[in-house]
Amino acid sequence: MFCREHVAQLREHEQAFRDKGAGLAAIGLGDRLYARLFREDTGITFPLLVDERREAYRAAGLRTASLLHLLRRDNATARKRARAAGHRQHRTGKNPLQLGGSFVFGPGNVDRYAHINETFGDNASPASLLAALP
Amino acid sequence: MEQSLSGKLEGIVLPDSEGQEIRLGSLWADSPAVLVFLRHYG
Repeated sequence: MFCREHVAQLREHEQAFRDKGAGLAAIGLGDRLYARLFREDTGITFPLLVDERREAYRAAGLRTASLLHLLRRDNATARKRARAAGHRQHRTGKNPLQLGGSFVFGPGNVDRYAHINETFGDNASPASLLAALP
Repeated sequence: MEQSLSGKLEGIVLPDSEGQEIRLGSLWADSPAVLVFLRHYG
């Protein structure tokens, strides 16, 4: 649900990223079939990469939640927000406790922005990603 | 000197949804890139 909400936000701002000369790509867990279905469902056109072994997740230092995160007030608020926007939970995949993150890099190996998600609905805002672009 | 995160990630190669292998560093080699890690494709 939060992935779909985040992707919908990114899609809304995709042209703004392009206007600043930036590319956009997403990485997810699961397999290629998951990714293809997700692409068809969400209509996204930017690259969707598949990290079945969580190699990039580990290298990026992304966190793993515990079941206690389900009880957090900020998660309840985020769930309400996502549901109000029409997003629903679909398949959760093999690693439902893996948390995400958002980064702005480049050109070259230059780190411009990092947001490591603290819990399920904690995604970087498109505005903060845009502001980090050169 | 500590390696940048982009430097740690640049050599990782992942397939896209169509099976094409992409080296992460190629995404930001010549222009900036927004890279988003989703939790899962659900």
